[in-house]
Amino acid sequence: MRTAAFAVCAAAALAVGTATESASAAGLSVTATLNNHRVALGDQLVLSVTIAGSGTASPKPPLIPDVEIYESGKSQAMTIVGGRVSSTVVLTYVLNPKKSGRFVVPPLAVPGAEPTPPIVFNVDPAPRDEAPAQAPAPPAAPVPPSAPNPEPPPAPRPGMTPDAFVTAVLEKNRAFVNEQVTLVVRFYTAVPLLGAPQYDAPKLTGLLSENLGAEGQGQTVIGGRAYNYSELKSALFPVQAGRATIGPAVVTVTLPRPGAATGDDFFDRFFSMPAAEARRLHTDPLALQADPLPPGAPEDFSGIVGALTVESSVDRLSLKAGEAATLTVVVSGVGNIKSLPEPKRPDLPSARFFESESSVKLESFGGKVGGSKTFKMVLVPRVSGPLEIPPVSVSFYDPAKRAYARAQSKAIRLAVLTGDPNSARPLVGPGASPAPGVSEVAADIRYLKAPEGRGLAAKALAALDAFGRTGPWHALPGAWLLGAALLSWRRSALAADPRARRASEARSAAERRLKQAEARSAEERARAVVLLGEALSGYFADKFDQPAASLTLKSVTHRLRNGKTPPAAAELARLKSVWDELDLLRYAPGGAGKAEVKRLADELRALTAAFDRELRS
Amino acid sequence: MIAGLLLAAALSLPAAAAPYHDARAAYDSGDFERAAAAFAALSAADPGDAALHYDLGGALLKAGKLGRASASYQRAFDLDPRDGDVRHNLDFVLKRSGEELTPPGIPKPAFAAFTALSSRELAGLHWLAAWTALSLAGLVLLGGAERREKLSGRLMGAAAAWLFFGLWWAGLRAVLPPGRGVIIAGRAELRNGPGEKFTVGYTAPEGRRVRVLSESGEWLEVGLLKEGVKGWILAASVEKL
Repeated sequence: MRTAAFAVCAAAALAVGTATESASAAGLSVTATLNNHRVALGDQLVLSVTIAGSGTASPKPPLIPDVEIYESGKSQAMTIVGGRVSSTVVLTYVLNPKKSGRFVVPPLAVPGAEPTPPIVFNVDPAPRDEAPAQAPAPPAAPVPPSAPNPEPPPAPRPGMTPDAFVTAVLEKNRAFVNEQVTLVVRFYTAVPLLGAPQYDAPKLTGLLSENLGAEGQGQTVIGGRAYNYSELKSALFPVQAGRATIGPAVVTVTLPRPGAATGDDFFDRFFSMPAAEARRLHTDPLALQADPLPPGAPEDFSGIVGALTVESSVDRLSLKAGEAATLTVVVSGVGNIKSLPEPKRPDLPSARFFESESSVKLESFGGKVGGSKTFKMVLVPRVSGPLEIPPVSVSFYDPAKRAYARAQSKAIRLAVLTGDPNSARPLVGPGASPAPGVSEVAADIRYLKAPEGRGLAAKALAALDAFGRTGPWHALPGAWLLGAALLSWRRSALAADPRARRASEARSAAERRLKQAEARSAEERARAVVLLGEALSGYFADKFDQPAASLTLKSVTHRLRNGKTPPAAAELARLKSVWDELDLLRYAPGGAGKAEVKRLADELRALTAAFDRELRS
Repeated sequence: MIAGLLLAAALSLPAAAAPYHDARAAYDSGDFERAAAAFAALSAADPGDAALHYDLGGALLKAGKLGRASASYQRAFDLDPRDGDVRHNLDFVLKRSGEELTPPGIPKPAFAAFTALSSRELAGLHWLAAWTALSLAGLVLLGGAERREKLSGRLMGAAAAWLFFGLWWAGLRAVLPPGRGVIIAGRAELRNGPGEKFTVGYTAPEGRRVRVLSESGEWLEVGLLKEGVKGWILAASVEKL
């Protein structure tokens, strides 16, 4: 009976209940405090809103852009004096900034109370792979090494067995930021209570609290005395690294004054009214050392410590483009589920997501806070075809494995049918106007390209390509130009020296005459002989730059013998023979036959070639 | 003889088309690994066909091989830089490795015009203009005054074309130099020397274009074209173009 009364009262004080807003807020005051005014991105802040006075009322949760806010708990102390109810309600909100910068908590108001002044706080950028930035914290007091504490020690002091006492024990006194630590508060009594006990929860600094639900009750013997006890378990979560404190837990109780009649005698009990004594029992303050999480957190890590699983589902696996489906993502497990932000939405360029809603269901798993948080978001496929929703993942720190882990759902494949062309705005969100023209849905590579046959242009380009490759043939135009330049130079040199030019062209002039002679018909045999003679005399005339008429065999032989390279006697003999033969034929009545002309022409070619070498040198 | 050649060509068409259709069917069915193997065989048999390198790049990319896909698209681009699909897909894979086809600071139309002709085509035009100019110069030298007057205009035009294409070719070789390669390993490490004992100076993403500067055993000295830094990388991590 006594324990039940304590439990009911304590549960009312600790439980996170739904706030019943009331307009009866006469004589209220509201204050708001922030546990820190400068934090690093990734850290959380705790906003405590205290409403004191007669009546009950709650302000609306503050709205701060780019800051996720959720209500973490509500504690209430209530007194009734002279029939007037006076209460103090402390609402706790957790602020989770999504970006760095300067933020302002707007004024919070309840009817009948002055609004709170705005509170400014700053969020500094903090790289993920470094240790989380810490706000200035009080100097850490020496804390014993982390070790699970045993069950709550039953006796407050050795050798003493008071009528009633209260204890508070932490499961362990060292934990990571956001890791659960269980606080057990036990109220022991060995005597009947003379009224309902009043429980004041300990004041927490740097900690969030969640009630673990059903309270425990039992009996035990301490120092030879029988006690009944009631216990409340709370899950505490350090908000930031550093030293967190748990203030005294207070139980105000009315007990029989020591020595009053409480004997077993029936009349003693019936007639004697025991003298009452109000006692205020409290625990010693406790400290908890919160350690920062190790570096190397994944990019999507949001600070959750525990063990999570993720499941995702859609309400329909087949729909038309432009129709809506609901994607439900359920994250469940142990940890401070309430503070879990929405997992990163799948990156799907061919679908659009719209605002989501979330709900939390808290449970206790063997003394650990957990439960599930459900996120529902509407997705609208923009185009038809198979649509795979990739796995949704959530990263967390697993204290049991002392490592970061990632829970991931399975991929979901949707069949998206062609949308109704008459339906209104299938490709855009509600209320939005369709963009004119073509809108890109997803960037991707273009489709295959069948090899087209080699057309004329392709063949020309291929030929150009082959021609352009480095090779020795590219020296040909250079050689051509060089040859042309040499030839041009030679021509210029000859033009400047007519005598040398005549000498150099002597053989070609003789050749022309020889060909003319060979071309003569049988009727022109005499002319052919004349041409042969002119070829021979003209050759030497050109070489010696003299008139052909002035040359005789003797003068020619003389010039040849006195040249730089005198010809051999045999050549001179051949020259004399041909010269004489031509002279003879010139005056012969029949001239020379065709074969004879040919023979003489060849002989003259051989002679001029031989003399050309000798006369050049 | 001609009839025989035509017959052989006609008979060879289905034989060549069948592997291509098999590769395309594998691609369409989502079996990108098989499609990549088939396209690789086809492009190896006809390395001058830009379309086959293009298709190979698509299959490799769909198979998750970004670096090799980038190399194939680069080959297709080198062969046919005017193809819009090739440019689009090459730009797509380059962006996924932190680069863009158009260098920063250069307008896209200007770069498109600059790369409208491939390096080989420019080389061909350069040499064609060179041959024309030198031949005309020879004729001018050998010809008389009349011919000289007649050819001098053409000679000037050919010389200007030679200079124009030569400068263009040289510029293109500066932007797309020979001896290029593509990193095909994820987060490849560039060391300060050819061996594991040297410290890692940089890491580079898969698909990043590099220029191979020298070789030493299993190591290549490469320069990152975009950042202008260099280091040594395992040869197996780079596919040369």
